[in-house]
Amino acid sequence: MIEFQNVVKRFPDGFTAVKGLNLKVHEGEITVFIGPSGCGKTTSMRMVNRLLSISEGKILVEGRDNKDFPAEELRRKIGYAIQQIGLFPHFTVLDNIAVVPRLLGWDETRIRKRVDELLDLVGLDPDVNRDKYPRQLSGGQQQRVGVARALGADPPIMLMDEPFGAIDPITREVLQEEFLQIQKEIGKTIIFVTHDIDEAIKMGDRIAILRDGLLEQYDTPDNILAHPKDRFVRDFVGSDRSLKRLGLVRVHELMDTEKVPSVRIRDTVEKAEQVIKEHNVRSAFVVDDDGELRGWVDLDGIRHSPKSLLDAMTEADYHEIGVRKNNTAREALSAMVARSFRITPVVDKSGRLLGSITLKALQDLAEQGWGDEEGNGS
Amino acid sequence: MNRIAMLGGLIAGLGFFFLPILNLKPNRLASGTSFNLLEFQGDDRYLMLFLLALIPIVLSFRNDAESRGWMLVGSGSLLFLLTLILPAGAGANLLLDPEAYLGEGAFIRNPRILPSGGMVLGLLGAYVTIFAGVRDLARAEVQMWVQAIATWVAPLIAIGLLVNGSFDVYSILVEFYANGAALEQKFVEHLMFVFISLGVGFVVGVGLGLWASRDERVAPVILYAVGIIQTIPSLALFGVLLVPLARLGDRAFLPTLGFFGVSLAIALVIGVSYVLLADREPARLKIVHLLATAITATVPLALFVGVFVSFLFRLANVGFTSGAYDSTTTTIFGLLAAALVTWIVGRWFVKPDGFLRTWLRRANWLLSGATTVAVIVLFVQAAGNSRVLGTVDSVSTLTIRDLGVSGIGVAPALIALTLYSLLPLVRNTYAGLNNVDPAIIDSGRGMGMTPSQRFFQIELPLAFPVIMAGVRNAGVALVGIGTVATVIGAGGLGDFVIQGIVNTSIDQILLGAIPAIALALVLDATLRGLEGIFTSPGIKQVQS
Amino acid sequence: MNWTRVPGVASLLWATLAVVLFALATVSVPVTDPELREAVGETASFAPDTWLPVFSLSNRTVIDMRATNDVRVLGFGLFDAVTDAREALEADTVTVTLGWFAAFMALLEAALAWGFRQREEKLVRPLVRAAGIFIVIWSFYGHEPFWDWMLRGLFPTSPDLLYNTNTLVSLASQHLELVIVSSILTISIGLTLGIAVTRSTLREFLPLVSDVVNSGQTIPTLAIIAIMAPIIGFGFWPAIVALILYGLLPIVRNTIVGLEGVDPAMIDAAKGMGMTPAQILWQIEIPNASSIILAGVRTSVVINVGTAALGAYVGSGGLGNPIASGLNQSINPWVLLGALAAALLAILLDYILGRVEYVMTPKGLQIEQ
Repeated sequence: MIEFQNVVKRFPDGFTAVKGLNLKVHEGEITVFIGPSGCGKTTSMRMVNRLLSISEGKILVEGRDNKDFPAEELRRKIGYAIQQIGLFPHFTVLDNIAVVPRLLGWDETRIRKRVDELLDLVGLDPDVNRDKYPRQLSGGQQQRVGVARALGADPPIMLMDEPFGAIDPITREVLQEEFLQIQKEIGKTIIFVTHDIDEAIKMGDRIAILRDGLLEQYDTPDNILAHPKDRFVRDFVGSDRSLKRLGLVRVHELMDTEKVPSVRIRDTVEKAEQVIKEHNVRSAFVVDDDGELRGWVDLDGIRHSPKSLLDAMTEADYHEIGVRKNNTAREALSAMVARSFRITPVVDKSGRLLGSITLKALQDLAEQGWGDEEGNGS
Repeated sequence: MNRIAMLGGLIAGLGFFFLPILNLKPNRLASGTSFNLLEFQGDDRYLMLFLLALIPIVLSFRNDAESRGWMLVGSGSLLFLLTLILPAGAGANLLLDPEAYLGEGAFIRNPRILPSGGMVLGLLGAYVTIFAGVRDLARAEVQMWVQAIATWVAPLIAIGLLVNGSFDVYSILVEFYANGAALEQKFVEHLMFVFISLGVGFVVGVGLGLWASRDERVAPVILYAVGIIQTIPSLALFGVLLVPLARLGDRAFLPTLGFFGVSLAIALVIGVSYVLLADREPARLKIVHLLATAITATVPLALFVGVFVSFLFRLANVGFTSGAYDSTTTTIFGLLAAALVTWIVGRWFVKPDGFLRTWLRRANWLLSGATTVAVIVLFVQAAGNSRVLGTVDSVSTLTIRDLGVSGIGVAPALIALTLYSLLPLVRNTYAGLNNVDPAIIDSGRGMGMTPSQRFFQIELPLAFPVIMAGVRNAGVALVGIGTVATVIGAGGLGDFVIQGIVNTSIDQILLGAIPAIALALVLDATLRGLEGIFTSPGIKQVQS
Repeated sequence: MNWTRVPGVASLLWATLAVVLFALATVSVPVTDPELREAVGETASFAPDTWLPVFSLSNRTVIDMRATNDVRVLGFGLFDAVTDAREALEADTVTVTLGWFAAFMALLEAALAWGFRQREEKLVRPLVRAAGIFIVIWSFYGHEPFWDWMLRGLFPTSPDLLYNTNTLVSLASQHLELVIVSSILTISIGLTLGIAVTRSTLREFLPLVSDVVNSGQTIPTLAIIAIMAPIIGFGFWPAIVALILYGLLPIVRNTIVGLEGVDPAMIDAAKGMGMTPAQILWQIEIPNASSIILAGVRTSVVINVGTAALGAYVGSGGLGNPIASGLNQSINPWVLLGALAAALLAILLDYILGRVEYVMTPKGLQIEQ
């Protein structure tokens, strides 16, 4: 989709920002450019739509050299969102989103329809927000409009330069989640520049780590975390990279639905003891007739009141002890550490026990090259 | 490639080629014959100017910026000086035998040489070339020094040549030699207009700006009022002031003084009632009350200050311009200069805790005190002079006009100029104080500073550069508007301009205009210098 | 001043004015200026009749309003519609008194307030109001008996009252002509220059231009006008050249400041979306810089009104004429007449341009963040 071939960027003052970049951005993926400041990540991105000229080498966009297109025409085909948003304060929200469609000469009814569609997509009510001016919106809303504007004419490619950089952490989290949802629907080819490794891991299908104008490593987040190429990458991703890897995996990918140490609330104490021994765990989960998690029972409890399971069990709220299947493995680990469990139940919205996840599984994940099946992307 | 240098060369070259460089006039009033550079045939050195104009064009194609910059500065300075000097020589030749050029029948009396468009463009081209050269130099401090040298050395050489008599053939100097004494007097008058009205305007303007920044409700009223004054054409403001001041001038002194006293008393009563009632009044009424106090106090106060200042102006004008007081005026300027030197040396060149510094400070106090005494002596001397009060012999027959206030003359000029200086002063004071980061003031309050400490130690130093910019703008504008004051008989450099229009004599116009421009530039530079000296180095970068 | 935006208040003010004008129309004042007395008779109505502003672009076609005090002239000097007062007198012209005009404005304001009460409509009302105020004040300008009455009150003993060679309206027309012609030229030159040096290809000239523009401010206005006179000759053009030179500074400076002040991120975004440089200039940069540029235009025009008054000394006419002649011949009523009229004209133009500035600033930029 986008291919950098030996791209070099030299500035008039002699500074060489990019020193021969070779990289292929795959269709429908978010490719994150990341690196310390001055590494050439933004420069590389800005050469794609020729906001900066290319000194040497070439960039292929949809298989063609991007110099073959007239610059403006090329840019209209590529969505562009930046950290400062750059909304036009004298245009309404509608006019802002309609900029590229109007440049392309769409008719007004089509533009209006498209704008409403996009506002819906980014989670803003079209009827309320269409005729507002940017200064009447909050920072998060402005950035949503910025994203909608970049998507204006439905470009196949998007360039995003730290689009969530200037927003408070909570809103940023929300916008990141929302944008991933949107990307699932629209499947654009996106170059996403950031300096925040957590954001890169969260957003990226692939991450390109740049350093001093050279590509250091280009791979999936998981591979980069599992097999950092050298010391620079290792330092860059941070010493908690194992934990970060856990952040990439969702609980439902790891949970065990077969061998769950659970007993029904009406079962006998013996049954519970048997389950615990059978699964070689310290405690078993107790569920009621509807399958809802009510608490747990361990050998200590059984020793204290060997008669009734109801007496022996420790009652607990499923919100407190269970994790949900959409949580990350990292959150499951956190829950286990907090309660010193070796196993933690996975529940659904109404508290029904779906399965369990063990500390062992998480350890295994962190230790082995779990992501190898994804292959090497570089 | 340096396109600015090319522009400079082109301006000078085309100016030399297409426009006359000199104009030979048979006498003071008649129009003359123009001479192009090419017309000085047989004298090849004048063609040098063409070559000099070509140099920046050629140089502009060089690629090495640093060496190009130095060459451009050099060739530009040379072009500047030679554009001034060479035509003077040619002019001298023309004057040897004016009949040959002017033809038969010309009424030749005191023929004179007028610099023409070619010369103006030549100087402009030289300026642009130097400008281009300075910007080519890589290091900022080198740029700064070269610029300083280029802006001072070339004019200084030019002034040296001027004193030396090299430019005496130019008609403006002929005019200058004819009107030298008058020029000096007009210049002093002009200077005093500007300084007195800027001084009064400073007090009033900064005061109003302070009030506006302290009270958000009166701020729009004050800003709007001074804005309106600024839109009124200067000629119209002089005219509008004429009638009331003429009426005022007709009044006898003692009753008027009584009237001022009564008005001030009324204002005081209203003001005190405001203080007493302030808590009980609704907000809108409060502002009306406050403005009523201000207006009732302002009108008599302003008139009183106007009379006082006009009288002082009259005294000072007599003092500084009549030969009888030369010793006193020389003393004053000497003392002032000495005070300035001790102050500058004491502040910047001596260690803060040094023994010398203490003494310099004492010397400075002493010198300032002596200057004040000398000024008072000057005024007393002037007051004793019969030119000031004319034929008035007792206080009972004294009218306001005798004190210097009348419809035409200095009083309306001073009042109008003071009013014009208000807008930049008020606006900048207000903006400067309002733009101080509230967090800084808050941290000052948090550390237990009193309001006055906060004002003098935090707000004022931070707002200072902005206020000074206002003073500068006001000063430069006043020099310009001051030239208009001539139409109401207030004198100043505008006298020459108006005379020049009447006589269609560009020399006379320039005789008034050039000192005014020079005064504006020097005032601007001086105030900039003061601003630089007093501004804390910590905030200079933010300002630039 | 929020209260003027309240619907109805403006129309109430207009209605009050209408009542006052109707009342004034019944009052007659004695005419004391001998020439005016000859033209209009012993007494004259105190309220001016309405007539459309006579914008004359040359002295030749200015109608002598003194003679037409009693006539409602509907004409534009520009088109030579009415060249002679007698002709106008004989022409079958419509008579509308200023009172009716104010009443009409009251109705119009009320209608507009009613029509736009749901939304903030800033395009129509400020301009309508400015035009109305202009016509009312211009009518008083042309009403010589009013000036005669006022000056007689102030100068009971003066033998001369009204300026004897030209009516106030023709002087004001000359003045406006100077200002308008020079402003059109100034604005086009200043904007072009300001825009040119902020383009990337000519940016290197920016420091030079702003340097020259700033130091140009130190030349006294009177000196510029005066120097032009011997070079170009006396009359209209030296004043125009001086007005252009002096009026250029605020426009160029504000255009540069305005365009340089546009958020670079906004321009980057525009470029990134594929706008051409011309589209960026016209759709993004100029609208965002418009309020600063227009403030510069306003300053420039107001300065021009002041400088044009000085044009009297180089024979360009205008409201400076009665001031200059009055000062020369010590006739104070003339000075006051010219001074008040010139001051009023400057304030009026400032007000109108303020309204234009308000209307032309994009709405999205007027919202405080």
